[in-house]
Amino acid sequence: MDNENLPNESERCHNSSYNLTLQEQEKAVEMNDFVDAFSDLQTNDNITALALPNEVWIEIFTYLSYGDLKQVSLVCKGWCQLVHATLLRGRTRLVITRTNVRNIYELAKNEGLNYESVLVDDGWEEFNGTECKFLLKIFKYSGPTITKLKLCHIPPLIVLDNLLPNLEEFDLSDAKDIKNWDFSKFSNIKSVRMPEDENEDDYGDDECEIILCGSLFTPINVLAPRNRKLGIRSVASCVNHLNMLVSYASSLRWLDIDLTHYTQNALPLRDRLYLQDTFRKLTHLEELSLVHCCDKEIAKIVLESLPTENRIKMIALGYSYEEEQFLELIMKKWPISLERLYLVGWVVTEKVASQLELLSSKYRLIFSTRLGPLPRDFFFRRPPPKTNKKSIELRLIVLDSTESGFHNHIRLLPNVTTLEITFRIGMENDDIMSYIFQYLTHLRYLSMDPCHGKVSIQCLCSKPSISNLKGLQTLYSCLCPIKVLQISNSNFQFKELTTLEVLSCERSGELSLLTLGHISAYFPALEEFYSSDLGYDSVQEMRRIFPRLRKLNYRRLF
Amino acid sequence: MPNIQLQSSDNEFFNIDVQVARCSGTIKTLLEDCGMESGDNVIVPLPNINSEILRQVLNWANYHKDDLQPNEDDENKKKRTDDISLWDAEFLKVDQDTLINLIFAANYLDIKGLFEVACKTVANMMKGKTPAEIRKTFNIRNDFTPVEEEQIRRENEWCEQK
Repeated sequence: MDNENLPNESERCHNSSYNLTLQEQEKAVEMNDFVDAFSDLQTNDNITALALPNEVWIEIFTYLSYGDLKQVSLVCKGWCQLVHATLLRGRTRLVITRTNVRNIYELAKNEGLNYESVLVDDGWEEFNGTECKFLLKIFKYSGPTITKLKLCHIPPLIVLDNLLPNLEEFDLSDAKDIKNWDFSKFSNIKSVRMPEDENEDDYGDDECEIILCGSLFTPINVLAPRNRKLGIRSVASCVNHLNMLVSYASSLRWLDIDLTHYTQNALPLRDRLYLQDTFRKLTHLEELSLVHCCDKEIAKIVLESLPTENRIKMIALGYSYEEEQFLELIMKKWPISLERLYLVGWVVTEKVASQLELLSSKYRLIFSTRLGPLPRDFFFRRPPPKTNKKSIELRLIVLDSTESGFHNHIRLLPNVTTLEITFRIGMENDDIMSYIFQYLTHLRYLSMDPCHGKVSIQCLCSKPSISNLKGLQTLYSCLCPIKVLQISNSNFQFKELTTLEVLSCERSGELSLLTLGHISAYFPALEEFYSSDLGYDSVQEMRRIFPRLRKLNYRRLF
Repeated sequence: MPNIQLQSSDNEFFNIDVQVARCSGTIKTLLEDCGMESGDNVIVPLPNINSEILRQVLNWANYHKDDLQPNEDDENKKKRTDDISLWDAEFLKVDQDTLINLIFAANYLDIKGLFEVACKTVANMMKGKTPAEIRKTFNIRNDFTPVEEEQIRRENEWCEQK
């Protein structure tokens, strides 16, 4: 596949100006050719940037974001070819909207399209008849290359399975009105994401939620035999429903257990044995959530009975298991496979932090002191694709940040990359913001409630500034910390920040295009912007202010 | 401590500690393959590195000679560019030609640490910039026709990260 595509890329961008191929480079550094190779290379003291070999540029480009790589592809033909053939390949998804469907059809017809992953953005408005025809024609020309597809409003399935013979992943999680589909017509299908059930009460005790590889729901008769991954959330309310688990024991990949009714009484011996028996049979479980299972005893039985041959990647524990024995047990049984550990409602004590310190090079850890129900998909949200397994990723969700010593807690976790923080209403939070800016300099994702500060913004200028967070990629915040940059006349730029939501805050006042114009220089890479103060009518002006803007208040701009 | 000599393209000789020379994977392998462990007056010719660049490379290698060798397993670690040490940042405050020459040299000599930090520095010069700004920074000619450029710009816009 890769080799077939390369000529296409070169046709599109014509030529490359480099002489040394990767193979030649590799050969050159082989020791036997050491001196020969060196004497072949001309001495040239005035080399330009473009004289660096492709392999070196690729190495440099790996430090750039997807958004930056797109800019690189527009610099010159050589780079266009280089990044499309290497770093952009495999990471890209084509988005078809009502606005561009016709253009994409023309491109598919005249030059051919080569995208494996396609998203049809018809969530806001359904495609009209003509647009639908263009869409089907795009599938007709390029369908065989598509392996992943997401769409919301669907043409009759019977048409699609002919046009998309190689479809492997079908994402219907935002789709409407799908009933009793038979996905077995798609001969290569591996997973189907179905929409979440919006009203659980509609389903009686007899029905379990069967969920396929993601936060999705479908009645069991929809399952095609080839669907290899299977997940279950909420195993009804009595132990007998665990039968379901046994019948899928070898294909069950993730499980969210909800057996709360046991909290009242001790677990009868019979049920205990039954639980042990059931969980011993599982062999392919990858993700396990015990967050909805408030019974410590059941959680313990589950963790103890699950065989170590299950390569568990993710475990989520609720606040009722705030005990070291659970951590110890998990680390002992799945030290190799575990990648993510969610500790919902856990307090980050020194002891917990030191235990986690040992694991930090290997695991992503997610804390939350949030006690209420979390969005269902929270636990199953996939890590972003570029996130590397070995990186340190700590999530810290703090609802109640007013407890004394908040800064002591965050000092224990200097490598936090993701922080969602909700402030208590009526509190001033300037101090907490300063702590974050001072200690959590590895943050990539920061979501803060408006600060509700009362003192003038000038007073913040002497404190640690948000410019300490150089690697920030996503920011949800009021304007106050950004205004500090403006007042202190900072030249700082968030070079990696692609997503910004400005929340309203009395201190910084209502957001206007004029204000945005003043702060735009801090956000050269911005692609998505959210603010309740700005309407869709400001699109033109916004695009001028933020040249890379792609989304405004959830709407795509193309 | 045994020494070896490196010969730059402009025929200057650098007498250096073997320990420092071993920062270079290329020289290390060369010494091992040729069995020149004892260091009896070995001269390694480096015909594509001039004395000015070689002096700087050796300066870097001397400062970093006691660093732990980067673990091969860490190759997959997150690609950050904001973790350049102060010393390295100061060291790489050089004009662009020198920076590019240092990358050349670090690449050929296989000095991973220097190569990595220099690549990060170049990447930082590109982040957040428009294509025109990048061209200006690196003095690259725009060889697209306006039609080609517009077509790629448009197709880029339709694409997003998976």
